[in-house]
Formats: sequence, structure tokens, C-alpha cells
Amino acid sequence: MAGGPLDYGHRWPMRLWLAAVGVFLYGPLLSLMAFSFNNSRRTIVWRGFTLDWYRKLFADADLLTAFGNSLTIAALSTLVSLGLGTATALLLWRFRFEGQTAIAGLVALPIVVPEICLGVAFLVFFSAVLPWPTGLAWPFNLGAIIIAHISFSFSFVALVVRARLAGFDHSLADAARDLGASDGTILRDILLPHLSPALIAGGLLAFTLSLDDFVITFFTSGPDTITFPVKVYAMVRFSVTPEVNAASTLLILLTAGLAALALRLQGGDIGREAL
Amino acid sequence: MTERPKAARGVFALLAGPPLVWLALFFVLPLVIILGYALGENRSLTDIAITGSFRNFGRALQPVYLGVLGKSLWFAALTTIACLVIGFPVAMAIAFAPARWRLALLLLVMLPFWVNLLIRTYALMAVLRPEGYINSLIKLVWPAAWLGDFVPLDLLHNNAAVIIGLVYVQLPFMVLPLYAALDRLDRSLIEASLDLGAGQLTSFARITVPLAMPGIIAGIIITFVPTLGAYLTPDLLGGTSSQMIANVIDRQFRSANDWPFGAALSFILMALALVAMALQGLVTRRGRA
Amino acid sequence: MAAPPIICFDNVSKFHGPVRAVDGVSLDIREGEFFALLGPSGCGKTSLLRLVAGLEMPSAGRVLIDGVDVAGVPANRRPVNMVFQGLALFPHMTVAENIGYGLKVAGVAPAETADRVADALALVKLVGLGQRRPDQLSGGQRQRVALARALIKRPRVLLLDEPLSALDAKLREAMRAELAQLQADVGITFLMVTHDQDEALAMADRCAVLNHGRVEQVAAPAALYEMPASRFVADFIGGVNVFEGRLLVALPGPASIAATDLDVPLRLDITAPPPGTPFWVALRPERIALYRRGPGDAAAPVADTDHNHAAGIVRHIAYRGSASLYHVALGNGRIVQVLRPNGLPGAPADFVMAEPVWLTWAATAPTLLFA
Repeated sequence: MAGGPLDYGHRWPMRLWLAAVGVFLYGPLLSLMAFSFNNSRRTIVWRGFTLDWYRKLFADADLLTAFGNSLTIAALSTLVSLGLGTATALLLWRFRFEGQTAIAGLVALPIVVPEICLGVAFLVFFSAVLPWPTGLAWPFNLGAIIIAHISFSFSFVALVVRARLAGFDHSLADAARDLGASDGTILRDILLPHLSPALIAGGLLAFTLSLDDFVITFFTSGPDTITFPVKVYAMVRFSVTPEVNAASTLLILLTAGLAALALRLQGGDIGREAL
Repeated sequence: MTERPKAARGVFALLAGPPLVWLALFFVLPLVIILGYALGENRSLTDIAITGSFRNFGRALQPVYLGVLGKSLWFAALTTIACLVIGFPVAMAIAFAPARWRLALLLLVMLPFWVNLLIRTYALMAVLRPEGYINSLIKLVWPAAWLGDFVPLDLLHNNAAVIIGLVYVQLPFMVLPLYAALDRLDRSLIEASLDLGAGQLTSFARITVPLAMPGIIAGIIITFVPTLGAYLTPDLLGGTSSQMIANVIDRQFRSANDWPFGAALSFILMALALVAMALQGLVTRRGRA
Repeated sequence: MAAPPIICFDNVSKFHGPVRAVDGVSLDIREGEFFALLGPSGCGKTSLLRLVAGLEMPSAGRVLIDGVDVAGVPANRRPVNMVFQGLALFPHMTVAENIGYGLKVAGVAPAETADRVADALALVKLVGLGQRRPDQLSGGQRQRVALARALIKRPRVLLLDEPLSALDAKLREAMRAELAQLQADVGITFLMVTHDQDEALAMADRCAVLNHGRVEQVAAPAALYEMPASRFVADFIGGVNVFEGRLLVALPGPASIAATDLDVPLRLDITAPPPGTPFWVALRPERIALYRRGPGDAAAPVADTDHNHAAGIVRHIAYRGSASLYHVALGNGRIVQVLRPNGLPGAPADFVMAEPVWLTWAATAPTLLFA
């Protein structure tokens, strides 16, 4: 079928380009995943299928602890970020007040400030102002990292929720009020259902950002609060091994699962919501 | 629905209090301390006095550090250009694809963004290292009889590896705003241009690109700013000569133990990032006026 | 009319910053009537509706519902319900949930809610569609859901904000009759806002024409059309030719009037206005007849003194099916619009472009306007 003048995807140079970009983006990740099942220490030549590296992985107590830490930090920081971010978005949407632009700018700042700057700032903060006590019970031992993660991820939540609020049709709230609903009822029946895609997208974004973060965590973690990326970093620095491939594969599958979940829960507009 | 704070003071306090207190305590305060340290000096290994001197900023202007800063800006610029060149056709193909394909293609581009940065960088290491896939592939087809034994190319730990890594990591960030701008673009404008006799290339240069400009600028900034402050990619893929400013900051804090100087460098990096963002705001506002 | 006003606007004003959206409006709506607020966009009609609903508060003056000032009563406790302009159906609820929402938040028992939702669905002819989502309905069906959702609360007054604007032209026509019938069936007072004069004239018992936040005229549709109170009303309701007037002779009997841009004196079958008052003469296009022969011609069809005559040339003809609108240029260049039915039995052949014609209208046809 011949395409119209704007069906650029039908032209062969475009297809070639897309294919090349696809290989560039996915080649390294897919080969990494494939070689996590390779029956050889060397990661280039295929020597048959094995689950040995996964077995080794699940026997590595340090790595499992790090993984558990990462999930705990991600879950807790996502919860708090959702609360703070939604509150900020509602504040900036519902009210007109002095200093509003300044506050909107301040809230967006953590997105802009380079990770390394936030990392060293938290390093200094947790050594000079609020030394996090060691030996606390789980999950309080992870407090410093959780605080740092909330500080950057709640801005993203606020961003996503604000974008969604901007598209809210005020006449829906008017209609509900006209039919007898109070402010609280409108929030529960009309506004929150409208926001739910943004809350899901924002939550998943916060969760992924937390799970993904290496730099800021690196500067706030102590010897007994190693997270998964920090642990993998140590392994990677040492050498490229099938264990790292296996661990990476698990994490990739986890994020792919999260993305699929996001898609399932809220349909089409996740791509647009994510930024 | 918008109203003055007086009308609902309780709700206002409830919404404003927690985020603002959080930002003040756990964002503004740490950055203020960094600024304080940047204006201070080491008295002993653990004791830092805030003296209010600009000595640390002066030191950042020494050739060796200016060089690092220049290299960081250069790397970020190269990465941004590469992402724009690679990403624009991709964004166009997605934006002009049939509706049922669009979401799937967009997701394919976005998915790597959700994958851990460290893992993506690691995956690239596996491709580029001496015993990696590229070298192995070349070795496989290497005519050793004529040219002698294959000496693996040194693809890792150099500037090129860092740029490739940065492009690899940042490409989705560039494609998304480009796609958003192209998706919003009224197709009939391009069709009108073609109808009025302009060729595809002219239409692209005169219609598509100018109208997609807000998205292009957004993409440039969204790629440039994080790249400027990149830490992990140069750390893992770069050699000793391809370290960027973030790596130098890290060194001040974790090995050289010169926190005041590291704070000053960190402050400079932050200022650069903010200036870039402010520039974008300025350009988009002028575009609207 | 013994019925007390169900809604009373008592010198109501509403300012949005420096803009006077509503400017000293006093208006009574009677129980059981279908009342339309008619005016161009920005005339303040929607603000009046929202003032009744409690979605806006007056800057000055009082709004009374059933004789009670509702100043302190929030929107959710007022005995009125609204059909919103964009319909404002809750996209995440089914049709039945939308319709039952007002009862649910009022704490009505689920069983009773279900019964009343079923009744409401039957009333608006949507039986069987209760489980659909709003986006699975046609425009007309969505319209009915919005109506049912507001009517189920049995409001004292149903407020309708441009209720038919979301529909396409054909459906809009059909819904007019249906909406008027529905109002007669349920016996609830309807207060409708519209910018569409045809819509207002077709449905309402009475209309208020608004301009710049003020009431220009309140009257039944026919009276608005036949006896407009101002140039604005005359112009807004249907097509009209307006001439600036000057009194020539005030005899007992028909007055003789000069219109500045009409090249013949006018004879009007009315009492002459006092000298010195500025006034205008409004003449509806369908009240003017076109002839090929003039008053001097022996075979002229109408030569009596009850009629006015003017000579002109056809400059433009807009064919509209059942009628054609002729633009006729008088000797001084002034264009007069004439609406002439097409295909009447026994009528002379159609006029053509550039044809010289005579315009004729009765002395009773024009209306004098003083504003």
C-alpha cells in the first residue's frame, strides 16, 4: 500500500534509520539479558543454557539485602512523594497567592539541579546537620536515603499531577456541587478519579526514579545501607560477570513489568504523563 | 475554583505546610550549606570554617579545572547534537505513523528510559570492552592469515565511549519532547506547503522545523542539562582524560577531602544548569509573545 | 398573573474586576414558565444563571428563590439544578451513576435511587443505556443524560446553559420541540440561557434580551419580534432595516416622517413622537413587497395612501429555498433588505439582478424605536 506524502514511516531510509536506532537502544540490553543464561564465565560466546547465575544470585545474601533495601526505599519514598507532590499540585492549582510563581519554581528546582550537586549537598547535610544514627532498626536505618529520594521525586509527582489538573474541566466540579456535593465529596467523587492516571504515573515515576538512583544514594548510603545500584556498581567496577548480567536482567524485567502495569492501569497517555 | 487563601485558610495551610517545610529542610538547607562551604576553607581534616572568601571559586578558574569545565560543556553539546540528529527522524516517524502504531513505537523508545541507568551503562560496557561484542565480531571475520593476529580495538575508556554512552542514555529524553511537538503540529500546514509547491525538504525546513521549535528547544535543554552533570557514564566508560566536572566534584568529596573546593565546583555546575533552564524559559516566552 | 415569582433578581450586579458582567438587573421568573435569557456572548446571561445556581455570588443586589434571599446558601443546598453548557457528564461514571449522583450525595437509599434512575431514564427515553459510559453515547443521548441528571432532583427551577449548543443543527431543531414538551410534562420552571434567537423564540414562554449586562426587553417571543423596544432588540431578533428618523408633519392621523437615509418621506400609522426626540424606524424585510410597477403607473397594484413606496435596483439576491433575500439599493445608495417568498401561486416572475423595482410597505408595518 502506497503511503501519502506524510507517511514518512513508509520510506525505506526512514525504516532503516528506525531499525538502526532500535538496534542501538535494544541490542546491548537484549544481549546482556541473553548472556545471563550462558553456561560460561566469559560473556561473549554461547555455551548453552543455564540458570546457574541466578542460583548464585539468590545465594548472595548481600545482594538480596541490597535489593530489599532498594525496594523498601522506593516504596516508602514513593508514598511520601505522592502525598507531598499531590499537595503541592493542588496548592498551586486551587489557590492564587503571593509568591506562587516563586514556589512553583522552587518545587521544579530539584528536577533541574544536577544529581551530583544534590548528592554532595546531602552528603554534607547528613554529616554536618543531621547525622543519621547508625544501627537503627529496619526501615529507619534507610531514613537518610529515603529523605534524599523524596526530595527529588516529589517534584516529579507534582509536575505530573499539575499537568493533569490543568486539563480538569471545572464544570464537572460545578455540576457535582449543583447536584448537592460538598467540597470533600467533590474531591472524592470527581477530582481524585480525574487525577488517578496522574497519581499512577507519578507514583510509578517516583518508584522508578528511586530504584534507578545511583548518584544521590551513593553519597547518602553507609556501609550497612547498601542499595541494589550501589552494590551493582561495586560489582561492575570489579569486572563484567554473568552474575551482574543476571541481576540486571531481573531489574530490567521488574521495570518492564512496572511499565506494563502502568499501561494496563491507565491506558494511553503514560508517555505524555511521564515528562 | 481558584480563590484567595482567606476563603479556605485551613485547606491552604494543609496543602502548603508539608511540601514547603520539606523543601526548606531537605532541599534548600543542604544547598545553603553547600554555598556556605564553598565560601569556607579546611582548618583541619574534619573542621571547616566558613570564612566568606571566594578563594575556592578563584581556584576553579585555574586552567586545569577550566579545562574540565570546558570539556564537560563540549561533551554535553556533542551529545545534544547527536541526540537531536538521531532523534528527530525517529520522532517524526512516530508522530506521522498510523495511530495504532504510535503508542507502541513511543513505548519502545521510552522503555529504555525506565531501565536503570547503571544497567544501561553496564550493557554498553559489555559491548565496547576489548573482549566485548564488537571486538568479538571483528575478530570473527578478521582475515588473520593476511593481517596477522587481531589486536582488540580499545573502544572503552576514551572520549568517544563517553559520548556514545551519553547519547545512549539521553536519546529517549530527546525523542519525547520532539514527538510531543510534532504530534501537536497541524498536519494540514505541511500539506498546504506541499500543495503550494514546496518540496519535502523545503517544507521540512520552512514549516516543520520552525513549528516544532518549542519541542526542539525543550529537547535540547532536557538533554543538555543532565548530560552536563553526568557522573556515572564518564566514570564507567571514560578514561582518566575523559572525566567530567561531576567526577572532579566527587573526587574532592571522597578522595581529596577538599569539601570547600568541591562545594564551589558543585555550585558552579548548579549555576550553569540553572542558566540553561532560564535560557529556555526566555526563548519560549519570546516565542509566545 | 397571580403566581408569585419563583426567582427574583433584585437589582443584581456582578463584577469581574473592572468588567460589569451583570449590571443592575431586576427580573422576575414566574412559576411554571419556560423563560429564556437571550443575548450575544458576553452579555452576562450565563452569569445570571450561575448566580441562581450559587456558582457565583452577586457583587450587589439580591437573588431570591421562592421569595427567600439565597445569599448565604451554597450551591449544593439550593433547590435548583443545572444542565451545563458542555453537559459536564462525569466521564468515569456510567449513565445510571451520573443520573443517580445527586440522589447518592443526598443520602437517598440505593433502592429508591435505582427506582428513580429507572424512571428518569424512561422520561428521557434512554431505557437500557444505564450501564453505558458517557463517551459511548451519541450527542443527543448525552444531552438527555444531562437533563435526566438535573431533573431527578426535582428542582424548583431547572437551569439550562446553552443546552443545545453541543448538538448538530438537525438534532438541535428536533430537541427544541422535545425540550418544550418535556417542560410541559414535568411542570418544572425552566430558565434557559441561549445566544440563539431562533431557539429562544421557538421554546420559551417569555424571553429577556440582555446586552452589556443590562436587560433590554422582557416579553413573549411574538412581542419581542413585532414590538422590539430598542434597536438592539430589533437587530438581534431577526433581520431588520433600521432608519434614523426625523419628524416632518404631525397631523391627526398618520404621521409623516423623514428618515435620513431613505429618499422618500414615510407615512406611519402611529401617534407622532414629541418633537426633538431622537428615534429610529425599524422595518422587517418580510413586510416589504417588491413590484415592477410604481405608484405613478396606472396599473400599479397598490396606489392607496396607506402605503409607502420607494424605487430601487436589485443588487444582490440570496436564495434561501422557501424565500429569497433581496438587497435593493435606493436612489441614495442605501441598501434595503427585502424577504420575498419563492414559488407562491400566481406570483409574478422572480426578479433578477440589476432590475429596477418598486418597494412597497404598509403604513402600519414599521415600528418606532426610541433607544
